[in-house]
Amino acid sequence: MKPLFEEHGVSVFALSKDNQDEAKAHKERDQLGFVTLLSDPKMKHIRSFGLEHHKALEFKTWNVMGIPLGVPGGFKSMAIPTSILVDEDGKVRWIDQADDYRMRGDLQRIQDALHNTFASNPPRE
Amino acid sequence: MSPMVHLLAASGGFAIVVFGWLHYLSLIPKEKVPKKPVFSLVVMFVGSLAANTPWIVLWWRGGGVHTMLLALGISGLGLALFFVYLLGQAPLPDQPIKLKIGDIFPELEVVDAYGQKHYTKDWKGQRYLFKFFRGHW
Repeated sequence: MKPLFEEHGVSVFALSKDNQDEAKAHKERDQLGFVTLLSDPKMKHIRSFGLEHHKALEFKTWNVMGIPLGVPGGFKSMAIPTSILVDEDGKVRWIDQADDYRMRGDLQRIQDALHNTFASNPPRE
Repeated sequence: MSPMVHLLAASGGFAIVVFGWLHYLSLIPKEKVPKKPVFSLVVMFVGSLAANTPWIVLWWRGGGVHTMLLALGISGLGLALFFVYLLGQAPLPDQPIKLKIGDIFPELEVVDAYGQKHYTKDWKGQRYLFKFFRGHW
């Protein structure tokens, strides 16, 4: 993934409702060294963009006498997966909201967007 | 009918409601929860009916109602109604994103995984992909 972004001189910032510890663990687990993971546990930025996805109930799995049960854990929201490509002038050039919860899943669409947006305009040194 | 029969019926009804709960909850980790949980609702209805019939019948006949019968009935009904309430919790619909192509990306103060602040206004001059994702769940 990293060479794709380097080719077009694009930095990557990824924001979710994870708290800092969860974000750090994610960064290390998935080896996201080139991604700046951002933490928005109160969903302030997620809401400001209109990207709050409401879930009716969040369930945690508890093992009760060996039987896995879904136990109500509260009404939680999360961000609608969204990619926003911004150019060096701060202008939004591409927005994508295809439903995919893993960062690697939408790589092809991102690759096409990077190529379509920046191929004719190599990064300034 | 003997008091024992009443107690057995009420206990059985309560047990059916509990079974209904456990059955539904066991489907959640397996992601096999039906969109219309007809079976679960029928179980809740049958269970609460069985749990409450004994004390209602006794009360109707003018007899004394043992506290245990009442407790089994009311708590069984309470559990069943709470189940129906939870099923009725529908999520709010998603809004459209408050940004469009051609807009200038907003000025934000954001915090990274190591507690360091970043200001998006400082990112002018560089290209970036800003990705919102669901995170840990």
